[in-house]
Amino acid sequence: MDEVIVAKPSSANFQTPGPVPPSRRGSTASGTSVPPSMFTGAGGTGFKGSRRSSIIGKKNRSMASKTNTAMKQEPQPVEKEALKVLDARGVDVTPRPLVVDEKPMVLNVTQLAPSAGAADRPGSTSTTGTGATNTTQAAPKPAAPDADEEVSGEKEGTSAVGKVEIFYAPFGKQQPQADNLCEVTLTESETILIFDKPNNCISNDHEDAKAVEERNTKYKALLSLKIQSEKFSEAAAQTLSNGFKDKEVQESAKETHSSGTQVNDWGIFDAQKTSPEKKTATTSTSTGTGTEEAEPEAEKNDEESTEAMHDKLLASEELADALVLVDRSVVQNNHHKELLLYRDFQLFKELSIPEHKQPAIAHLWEFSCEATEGLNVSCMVWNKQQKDMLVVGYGAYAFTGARESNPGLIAVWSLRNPQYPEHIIKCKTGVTSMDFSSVHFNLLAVGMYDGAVSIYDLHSKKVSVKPIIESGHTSGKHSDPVWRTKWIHRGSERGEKLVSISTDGRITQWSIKKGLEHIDLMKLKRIQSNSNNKPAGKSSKPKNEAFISRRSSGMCFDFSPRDSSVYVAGTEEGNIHKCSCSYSEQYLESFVGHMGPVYQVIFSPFDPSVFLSSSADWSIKMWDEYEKQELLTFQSGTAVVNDVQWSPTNSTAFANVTKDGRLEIWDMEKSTLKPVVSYKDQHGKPKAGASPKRASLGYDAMGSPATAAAAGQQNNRSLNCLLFNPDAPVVAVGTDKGQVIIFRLFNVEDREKNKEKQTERLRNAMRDNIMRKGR
Amino acid sequence: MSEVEATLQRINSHKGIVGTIIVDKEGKPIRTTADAELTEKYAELMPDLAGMARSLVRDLDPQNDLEFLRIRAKENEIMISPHEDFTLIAIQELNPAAQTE
Repeated sequence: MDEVIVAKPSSANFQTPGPVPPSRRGSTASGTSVPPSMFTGAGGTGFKGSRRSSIIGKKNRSMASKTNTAMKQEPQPVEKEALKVLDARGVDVTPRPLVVDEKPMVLNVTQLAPSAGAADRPGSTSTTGTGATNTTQAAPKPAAPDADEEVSGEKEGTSAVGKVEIFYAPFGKQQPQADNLCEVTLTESETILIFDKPNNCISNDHEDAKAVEERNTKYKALLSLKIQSEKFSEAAAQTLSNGFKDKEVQESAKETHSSGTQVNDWGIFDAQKTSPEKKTATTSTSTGTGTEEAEPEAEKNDEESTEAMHDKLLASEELADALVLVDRSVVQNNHHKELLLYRDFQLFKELSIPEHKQPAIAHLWEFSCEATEGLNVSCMVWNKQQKDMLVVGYGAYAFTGARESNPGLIAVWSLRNPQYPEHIIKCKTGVTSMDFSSVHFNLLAVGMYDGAVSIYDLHSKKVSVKPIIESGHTSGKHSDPVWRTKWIHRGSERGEKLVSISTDGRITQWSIKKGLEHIDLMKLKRIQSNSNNKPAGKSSKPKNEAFISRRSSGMCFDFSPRDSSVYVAGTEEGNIHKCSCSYSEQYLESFVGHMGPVYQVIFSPFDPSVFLSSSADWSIKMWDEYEKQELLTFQSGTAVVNDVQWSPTNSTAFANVTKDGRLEIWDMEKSTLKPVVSYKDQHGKPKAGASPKRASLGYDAMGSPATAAAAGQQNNRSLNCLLFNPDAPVVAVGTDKGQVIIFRLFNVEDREKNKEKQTERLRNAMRDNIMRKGR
Repeated sequence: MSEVEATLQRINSHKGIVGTIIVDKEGKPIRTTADAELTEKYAELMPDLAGMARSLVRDLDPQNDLEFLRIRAKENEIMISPHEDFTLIAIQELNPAAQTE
């Protein structure tokens, strides 16, 4: 915009400031004839809204934004003191005065009717604003043509654009001097905007609408008042309308991509979890399998790398774990029936199992795998916390040569997979005894063939590979295999202690408070066997046996449930000694009766003074700790009885296993001469299939095996150890070939939960039987 | 590696197993003991189903995740263990007809 504002009336018709024939000047038909004259607003020669314009009839109320400045030909000399007007570009647009004192400027060369021309001229010079002059112009029209010519003639001489010839009115004093000619070139001045008020429209709903309307009406009223006033003149002029110019710009189309994705609740959750700082959550992929954090292996279309990736996958731990899961599921599918039986689901009809009325056992499955094949199961123990976990120790009973040939193994078996252990721990030498702590459920005390007592921590696979503590030569290691280890809770003061017995004659108590410390509770001594076993005839002169060693070899022990400092220990001579922790040299009592090594002594869980003992002399004896003589003897065969255990649910029932592969269940209430169930293992070699199961299902009370043909088999397995499960009606039996057989018991347990009643029953049964024996 | 191999062998020796298939996250079978046609079918269908099951489990509780999926059909049972990098599929036949060992 130019700084200079020049008001300039514009007419619609007027396109270019070209020569305007005089006749046209002052014509009002076309509206305001554009005064080719320059006039200034800035010049101050009279910017007035002249009323003349209205008379001209130029009722052009159009956006006469620029009211024409009066082209008042005021004859007064414009006294400008070198006023310069420059537009924004520095172009000198100083309006040149229209009236010049000295020189009258006349364009016309000819004097032809100068007066007429003069008469014309004033008209011509006048702008539309001077209405009077305009009217006079109308008159000399006939003369116009000449002037026209002249003008036009003149005009040709001038350059076309922007130049307008202007005749100035010799108004008043000045008379055009015909002989003084000078050329004047006039150019259109810049438009000077004096006042620009664009129309403003507001909608009726506008808040100011009312105010505006009021103003409008007021103004109208004002106008109507002012019409008569001389000071007021309304004039309108049409202004130049700017030419429109179309401008087009082309630009390359913006590439758009549309992308969408689906998000789930958990996609958002994942994203928040992984990048909590970022506000924008990454969305999950539409497959919904994971978040956008793609695996670092972004190699694609690369044969080798996929190979490598596959190999890596195959070696991954995740896959190994998944495989274990699948293995378990598959095996569980196969053993579904057996597992249900184990859990004591009374679904006999659905599972099509014959319901047993009499005590019976059913072979469920065998814990056996390649790694344990052929090893001698020496001990088993259920975990006190996870009752489904059975830990089995493997180790030879007899010295088989150098250490290497007697590898020891601890296998952790679980119900989840009856065909493969959860965990296998290799030991230096054979394992001969084990026990779980009841305070720290993951601690397993292991007694080894070489006399060492080790403690394993089974809470994680990695940790349990090696024992956390092991007794060495300096710390009281036994010099013979440790045949029994037991955690004994000695009361809240003393806590739980580990006690072990070995054939070196020592009963040792271990504490793990600082390392592995030991105290010898007892050193077993041989005693003079002045028992009743001697035939009556012989004189009871004191025997002068020359002992090779005064020490006696301990094979087993059990602490009394009544008093945790009293225990009984069975020896290799067949004597059972009752000892106390307070005395380390003397026995409280000795029970003489067995004629062979006593392999197991065990107190009854229902009657704290009754205990059973099993021995290599083919018999089981029942003792009362206060009686020197045994109460009852049970014998059903001619084989070494390796283990005897009380039933945890039935006070009068117990079971034993023998070396010739028999599992017998006794119930004192029913009979003390014969076991209620007798199972003979007739399979020397274990089969993974179902055949043993089918054969052994349904052993009845009479004890005759269903398949008598196999009775004569020689290569049956020796059953080494036996365990009742405290919760399920199940017994586990370890063989010398590396299998652990799980049997389901039927009708052996007694549903009586009341302990006293059970004790009562036991007492009654005992009394009955003992009385029957005539003692 | 050998642990994986040993377990795989063990699984395949069980009664009734038709085969085990390990599929990588793109759907290509890495290891299979079932015949090719079956493998292709399973490799194509199973990961999708596992994905949907996982989506279901996580929609119910975003902190939960799918560990194992078992489909017990009349004739057989399909066990799927889905993971980020791979999917393990095992097929076992339930009918006594498969007890031919």
